Amino acid sequence: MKCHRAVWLASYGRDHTLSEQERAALEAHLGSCPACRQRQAAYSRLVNALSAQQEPEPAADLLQKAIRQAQETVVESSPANGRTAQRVRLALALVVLVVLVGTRLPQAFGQSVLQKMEAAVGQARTMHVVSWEFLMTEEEARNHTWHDGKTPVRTETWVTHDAISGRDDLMGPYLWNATGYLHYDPTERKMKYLQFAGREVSLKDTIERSFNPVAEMKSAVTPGTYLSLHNFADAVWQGRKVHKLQIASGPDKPKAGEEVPTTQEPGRTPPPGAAPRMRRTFWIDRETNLPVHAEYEKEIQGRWVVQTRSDYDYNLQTPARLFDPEAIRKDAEAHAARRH
Amino acid sequence: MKNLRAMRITLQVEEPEEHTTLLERAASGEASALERLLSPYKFALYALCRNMLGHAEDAEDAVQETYLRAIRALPKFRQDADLYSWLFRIAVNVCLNGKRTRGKTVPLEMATERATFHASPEAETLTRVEIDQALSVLSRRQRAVFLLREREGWSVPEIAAALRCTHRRINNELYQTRRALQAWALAHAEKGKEG
Repeated sequence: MKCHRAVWLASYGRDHTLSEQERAALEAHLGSCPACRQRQAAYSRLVNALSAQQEPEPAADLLQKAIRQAQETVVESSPANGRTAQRVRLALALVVLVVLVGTRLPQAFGQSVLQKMEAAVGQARTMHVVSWEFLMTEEEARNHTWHDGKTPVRTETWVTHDAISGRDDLMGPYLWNATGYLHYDPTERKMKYLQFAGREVSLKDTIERSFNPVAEMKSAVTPGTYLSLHNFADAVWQGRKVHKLQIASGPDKPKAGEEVPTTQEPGRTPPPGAAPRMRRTFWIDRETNLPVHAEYEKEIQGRWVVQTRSDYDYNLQTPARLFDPEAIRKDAEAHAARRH
Repeated sequence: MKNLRAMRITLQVEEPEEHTTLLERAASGEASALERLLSPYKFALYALCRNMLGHAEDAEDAVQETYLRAIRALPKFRQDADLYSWLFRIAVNVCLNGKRTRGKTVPLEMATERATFHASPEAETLTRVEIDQALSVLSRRQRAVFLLREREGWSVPEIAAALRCTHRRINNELYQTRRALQAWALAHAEKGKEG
């Protein structure tokens, strides 16, 4: 058998069943022809690499954009003048009026606030978050002693599109950038610089999810649990007019219009205990659509317990020293010296 | 027979008792139903478009266009048909007919990175950049045929139906595609040894 015939048969054999005769002839040729063997092996390697290739993550809102575009096209394609157009305008005016007098459809409105917030955080250049973490144990919750006499742990995080710089009361400062993750190791009592060669993607993902706390919830939810949206009346937060939204996760299927799509598989039954009920409430600035405050609660022993309170600021000027590895090293060493 | 990836997506989406209602709600334009129905395919569609077009942003545009065409055509979609195949056919058509908007397939700075085969066969892996380089030797149609067969696990008749051509033509295209990729892989391995 000539090589070109073997290549053809090998290709055909990947997609169809070869006859006994053809298969034997192909095997005999591959046994005696190193060039053909090499070709087949190289091709198999490529196909294996392609199959093993992890599917990259596209932008989160592709489908939503398409839906909006489809809806806009429907409106545009309706008659632009005449009685129908007039009716459309009247209906739109009525909707606006209904919204203004406050009897709007709450969940649909909540979904649009959520979309605007995700779009706004997608445009942000920097983010600054100060969080107070109430580290709660099951026992404390059972004995109704939560938060009693406890000082919450304060954490502070700065995020840019290239790096994350943070510090908390226990661990001290850390810096995560394209080069690696610089932090203080309390076990070894020294600074460590972890190299993440070739793993910049995870930094990129972390940055994206830090900017967008809702995306973080969508990706972190236990497979099989649902996210649902609850919309509260608008409020005032520290002098700012805000929308107040709550996203809850848990095993109960949300009602129509309340569901928030997640990146996890929907509809699967989670193992018992794997999906505790949690909820995060956002106070969202009505002018900028950016979150200014959030509270994260967890259901423990049938009671809702606040785990974290966070204040957000977007687009502030970042302090340069927090992104300077040398300054972080000095800060962390000073922190370690104080602790030990 | 589609591969496991397709089956996983199908299982994820199709809960028989809900599927018909969901399709009807989606076909009527209900946003939450459209999201529930179509969002599980996002990653698979993006991977296909990314490999077909070789560019992340072009791929995102193509997925968005695929979704848009699907949403518009959903009222005509037969309830007993396979949503996964249907979406993939649309995506392939979008990629085949779309304009190339963003230049080279492989970003220059990535293409200049060292892409090597390691010495031991166990360690021989190909990076994203190398896969992009390999795919760039194929025409878009060849890429479609190759990806549907080798990544998505479609059969020759399924690909022929999707691309509206004969089985014979697909067999020939697969042969040409594999020859081109084998030549690339051998040259690449040689380069790796020299480097």
